Amino acid sequence: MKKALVIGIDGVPYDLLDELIQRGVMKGLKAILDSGYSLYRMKASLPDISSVSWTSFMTGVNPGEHGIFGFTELAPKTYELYFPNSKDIKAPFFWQSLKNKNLIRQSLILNIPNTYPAFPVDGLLVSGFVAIDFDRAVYPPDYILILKEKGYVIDVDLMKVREDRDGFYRDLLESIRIRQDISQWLLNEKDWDISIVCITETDRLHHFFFHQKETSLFDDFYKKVDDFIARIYKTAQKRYGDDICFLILSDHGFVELDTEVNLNAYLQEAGILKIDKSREFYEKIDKGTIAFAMDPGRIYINYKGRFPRGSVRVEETEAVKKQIKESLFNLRDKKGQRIIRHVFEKEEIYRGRFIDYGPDLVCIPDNGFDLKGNLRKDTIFTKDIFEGMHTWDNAVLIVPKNIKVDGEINIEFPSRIITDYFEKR
Amino acid sequence: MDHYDMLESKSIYIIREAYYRFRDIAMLWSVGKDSTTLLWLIRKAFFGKIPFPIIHIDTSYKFPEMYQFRDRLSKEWGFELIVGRNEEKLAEGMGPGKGMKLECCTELKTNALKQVIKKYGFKAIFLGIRRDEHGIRAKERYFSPRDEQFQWNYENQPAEIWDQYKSFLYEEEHYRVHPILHFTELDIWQYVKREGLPIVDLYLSKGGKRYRSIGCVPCCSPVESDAATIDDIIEEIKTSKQSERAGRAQDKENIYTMQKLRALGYM
Repeated sequence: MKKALVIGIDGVPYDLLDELIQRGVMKGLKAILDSGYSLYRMKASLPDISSVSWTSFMTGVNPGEHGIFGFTELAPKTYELYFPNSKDIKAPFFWQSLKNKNLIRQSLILNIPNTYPAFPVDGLLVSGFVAIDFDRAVYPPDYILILKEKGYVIDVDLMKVREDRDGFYRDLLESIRIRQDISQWLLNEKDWDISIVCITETDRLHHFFFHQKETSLFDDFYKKVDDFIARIYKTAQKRYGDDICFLILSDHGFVELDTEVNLNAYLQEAGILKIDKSREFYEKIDKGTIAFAMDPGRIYINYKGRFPRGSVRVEETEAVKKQIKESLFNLRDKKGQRIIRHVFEKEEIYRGRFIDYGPDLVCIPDNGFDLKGNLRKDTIFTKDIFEGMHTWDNAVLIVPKNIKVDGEINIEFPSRIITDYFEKR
Repeated sequence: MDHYDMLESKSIYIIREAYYRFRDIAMLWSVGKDSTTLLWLIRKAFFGKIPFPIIHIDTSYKFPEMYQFRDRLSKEWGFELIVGRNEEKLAEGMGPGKGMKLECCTELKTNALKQVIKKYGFKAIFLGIRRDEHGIRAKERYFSPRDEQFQWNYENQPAEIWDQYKSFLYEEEHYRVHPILHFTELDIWQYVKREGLPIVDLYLSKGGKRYRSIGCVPCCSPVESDAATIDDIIEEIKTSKQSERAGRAQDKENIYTMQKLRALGYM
């Protein structure tokens, strides 16, 4: 019987992982690679955030087909803020498709972002970020109490880092330990054909500690990650033999963050965005607005008919896009450095039925400039507590050497390896 | 019969039906306008004498005006009041401002209610929710079963047509009963006016602001309004396009989601 195991390492960049392997920090992973696996650089989804990228992984399709474009969205024809979740995913998950073809029976889906609320699977699903109510994060529900009793944590307390960095770091280590114990237990306890286990703690470490990536703080942490990977792999091997299909992947990369760039503050300055401060959130967008930004670098044109106070007519699209792009490329920091590296138009990057719900433009910044879409900040450049930012083009994928990987790959690709594996006779 | 008589008699029918089915029943009173309206209807249904206890879930973060109102009304109307507090979590310092925001509502509201239901063995609870409050509530039934995990399976509910209600219960379940499901926000205010019902004065405008929905102090904010009387409120709601829960920042899950996203630098 065929088995597939996937370990997700949220926010781990190709270069960092490569370096940690070279330096001998990740001995377990090194041994796995030496036994016949290769490391590839992979592109994340656009935008490069977890909910979008993991959904692209789970469905094998782009946001134009699965319908998730960010952690935040505006409800159709309004400026009303809306938080998409698993119910908004409009494409089938690859394990569902395999199940429908009777190629697999049971799946074990642990901690993948954007799987909340938990939905039915044959097997077990425990939701990842942003799961807020544990009682709705587990399917089937008989596992709610079992996991609670075992001390399962969905995520560490993210507010704690502002008060107690050391404590937060310890929490991350503890959280990985619990995740490892419970994942190992489940891999033995449940029958499964596909298991996917995600670590979120790496992303959390990077958000708050990435400037310390050359210190022992990182090395110590990654030794635990290494142990996690090695033990989970070994547990699966022990149970089902050596020829399981095994992948490791991250959903986006990371670099050090120099400054946050509040795109809406800039668009206001450039006369592209008008704000009414008396209102809340995106309701603030006022008459006369040409375009506005949502996290991280999504630009929406304020079309008449698409938004209540929209003013741009469809005929004006080309002219408006040109104006916005020019403004964005003109943006410089205090030292005169360019900030926006590239601006994609939606037609270039999205295909499918839901393309109309996506942003009109997606900006890719130069490293160090973290693009933000909030409407609260009046100044373009701000610096908060964050030391790392997501990147698009250096996620990582580890696959068996015999798998052919050609040219540029992105996060829609890995599920195809698993699908092919189960489909081939 | 006018519109409000019809709303009222439909509610009273459901209240009596539920009481006939479940003697181990209680009502959840948030002290807000909707559940106070429900309390009034229950009083009417039993000719002034409420035959079961009224539960107030006290998170300890409610407005002082709400506590005063609660104590005053329970004395004046003479019903048995059960105050449910998750004392264990309160002692641990649980609260929206104390780091563990994400569990605050679950612990201080949901689990406090679970504790009360368990302690008294209630098989059914009256709630003053309305269909027009929120999208998900539009899917509610008058008789709404919950399983032992407190979960509501809204994709598989008994149909309720032609006043036929499913009120059979498995051992581990309990029912939520929603007698004012068919009231709208405007109906509530019109009915409050007609019946001369008391309300917490937080709903009335002071200094250009009023609360349209009330709950815990840290999680409620007033909306801009000059409506200082019930008549003003009725006028305002007739013309307002703002959602009723706009002042509740967002809904519970949304608040939590937002906090989590903000903690990672989004929003």
